[in-house]
Amino acid sequence: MSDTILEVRNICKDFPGVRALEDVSFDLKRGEVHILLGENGAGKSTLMKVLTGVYHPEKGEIFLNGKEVRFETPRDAQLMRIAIIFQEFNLAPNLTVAQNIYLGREPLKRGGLIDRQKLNRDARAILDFLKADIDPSARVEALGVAHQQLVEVAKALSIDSEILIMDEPTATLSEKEINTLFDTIRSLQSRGVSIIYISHRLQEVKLIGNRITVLRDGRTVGTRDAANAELDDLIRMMVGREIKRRRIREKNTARDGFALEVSHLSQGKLLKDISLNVRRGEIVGLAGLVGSGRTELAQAVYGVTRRDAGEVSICGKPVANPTPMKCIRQKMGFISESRKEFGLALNLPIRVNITHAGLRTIFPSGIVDVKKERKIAEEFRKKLRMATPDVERDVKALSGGTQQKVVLAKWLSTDSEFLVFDEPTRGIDVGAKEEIHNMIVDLAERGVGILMISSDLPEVLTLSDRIYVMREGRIVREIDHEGVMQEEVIAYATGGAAT
Amino acid sequence: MKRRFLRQIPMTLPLLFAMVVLFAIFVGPAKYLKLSNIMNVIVQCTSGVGIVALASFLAICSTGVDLSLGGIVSLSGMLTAKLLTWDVPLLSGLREQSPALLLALAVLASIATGALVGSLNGLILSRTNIPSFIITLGTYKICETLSRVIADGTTVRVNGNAAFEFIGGGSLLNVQQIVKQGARQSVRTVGVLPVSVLILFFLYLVFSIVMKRTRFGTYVYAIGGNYDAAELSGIDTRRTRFRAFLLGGMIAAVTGIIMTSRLTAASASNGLGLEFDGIAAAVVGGAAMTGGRSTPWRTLIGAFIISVLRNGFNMIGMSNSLQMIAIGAVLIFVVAVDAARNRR
Repeated sequence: MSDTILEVRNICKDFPGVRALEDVSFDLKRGEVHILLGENGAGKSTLMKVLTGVYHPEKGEIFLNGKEVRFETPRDAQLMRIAIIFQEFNLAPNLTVAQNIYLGREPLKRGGLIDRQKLNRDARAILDFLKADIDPSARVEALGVAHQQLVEVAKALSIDSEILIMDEPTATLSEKEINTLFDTIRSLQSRGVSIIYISHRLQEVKLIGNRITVLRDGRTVGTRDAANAELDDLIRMMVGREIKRRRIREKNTARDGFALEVSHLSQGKLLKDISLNVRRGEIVGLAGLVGSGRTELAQAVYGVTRRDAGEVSICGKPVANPTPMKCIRQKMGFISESRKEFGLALNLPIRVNITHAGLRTIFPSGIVDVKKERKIAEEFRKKLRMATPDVERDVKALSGGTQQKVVLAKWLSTDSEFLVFDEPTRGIDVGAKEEIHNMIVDLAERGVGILMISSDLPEVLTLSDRIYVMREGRIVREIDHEGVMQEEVIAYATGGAAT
Repeated sequence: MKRRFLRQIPMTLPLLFAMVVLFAIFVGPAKYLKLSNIMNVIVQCTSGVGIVALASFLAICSTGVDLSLGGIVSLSGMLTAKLLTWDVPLLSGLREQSPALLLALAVLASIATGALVGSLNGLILSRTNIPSFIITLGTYKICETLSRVIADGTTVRVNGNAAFEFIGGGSLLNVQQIVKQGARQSVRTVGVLPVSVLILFFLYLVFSIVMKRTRFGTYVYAIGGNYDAAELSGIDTRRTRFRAFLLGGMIAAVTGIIMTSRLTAASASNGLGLEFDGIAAAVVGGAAMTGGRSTPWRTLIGAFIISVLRNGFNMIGMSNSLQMIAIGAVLIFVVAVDAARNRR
């Protein structure tokens, strides 16, 4: 039981401008559940993609059963009996459970037709082993999330995997479903399957893990036995003791009047009775884990999604039945998390993107004056120090940091008085990050109310005047900046502290 | 169990039935439900959108769209006519000595042409990132132009070739029907087992099995359902999409042959526009433009809906342009209802 099945040595992986993994090493023992713990962006998922042949590391070795291996494609890893279950499932929803489990490996009858009886029988056998009450001939789209995950597990088992990697498997599951999943993991373990379990939920790691390795900023911080790991110790490893809180802002610039008032807002299972406010000139941080409802809250305020109950006022005026259009007219701006999906028109030049949200105010006549547009864009280019020689470049050619500045400029050109930032500095380099921070502080000093969603705790702590912590669709804590410690925020966000 | 069976009946089948009832009421049941009219609808469907719809379905199911189908119908139909009638020594000699061999040659050459165009579509699709919409728009134009070049500005007539006419106009079983026209009575022969319709059902039967019971079919559905999942499962997505377009080209060529045979003439404009009828039929039948939905049989129902509409509007005496508007409206209606149902 104690022999090592997989060993990873000194893995380095670079992305343009960012070192995602630096000297990462860890080992997996046969039949153990090894937890990879870390904050968002710590490099957990990148490491897993290296292990499954999706990414190729710049440096480092992978040993499987003592032999060095190299994966060129995901198929190679599969052949070595390593299976991965991604967060977004890789199932064809229109095919049946059995078809999905054996996709690409269908049993054939003589004559080349698929042997459906055998297909369903084999699938049934695997599902029975997993104690899953799923009809092999049911379509995957008819299943709930938990059952879809079980189908993924069944698929992994059907290729006789020795190593199963699960990327935040409990992110979308309910309490009951999590317990079922843990039972499944234990029965896999008893079968000799080794499991790498990625998570950032502190409560569950001690329940299911044998050992825990903590990653931070692309490096391995350390490995602990789950049995005698202290929660506080793990939190410190995740956050990093050496990060000193440095307050960028000299003074709290909050003024009278509210930029945002939300009372008793609810939306299905995602948001539960949320009340919060942001004053003019105030920066309010919204902390919490991915999936805790932060983005959902911002989208409900902005009218992207419908809300079931609750009132929202923007800049002092109540907004019923909100739409993004109505919110923009109330001088609200929303700088979304995924700039590629929602924030920018990638195939258009910087100049056009910058004026997109403010067309109505900049060109009231409805006719676009390119000269004026260029002048405005040039101003922002200089002010935000965008890394581009001119504003005629297509946005897709820019680096992540510069793209983020374009999104920022887009909203600055609208004279917004209330801005929501959703992960304003995710995936961008340190220099650009600081400039964006300065820009946000600048805005607050000019009286703009700011709600900042961020998984980057130092960012929340250094910028915010106040912090709300969210967990499972609720606001579990409101903290004035002065008294807060990073560990406290993490503890509330992960449920490590009683609320 | 009974519930499940009911749910498997596509909602388009009652729609088709309702349309037939409506037209029967408007046109008059005696005239509309006459055997000759029913067979007329079926044969028209076969030599028109019926078989092409199957090719459209294949392309759409694998997340593409094939606009070249109309061009392939035109080109293959033209090629068949030309090969059967061309006055060059080799072909004339063959026509004298062994007409059956010439016919086989013409049919095979047409299908091979369809396969060639289809594989060209598939090859470009699997080697580049060009969307199938653009690729097939290009090959459509190429086929249409080649067809016009062969036609040389005229209609190519195929006269007095009974064996060839049998493909599109023959029937394995005929019944005599008495037709009353005023005081006069005459006897008309109605084919109830037309060869072309048998070809249609044979093709649908084969592809129904292919889609359901072979790896190729499963992979087409998998690609349409979740492209990344298909790729990560080790499916050769390029080869699968290539094959879907190759088969589509061959299927369209069959329509070209049947159409020329039925009309005993080929004109370059024959078949043009069928690519959109095919897409409409597939979509009405339940296909999603994002792929992975519907079946060959459902597509056939879609094709019949369009043919019944055409024929019914004709019998009411509706003008051609009004027909197009009505068919467009029905298409949007069916898809809207389907979308609303899927949203639940």
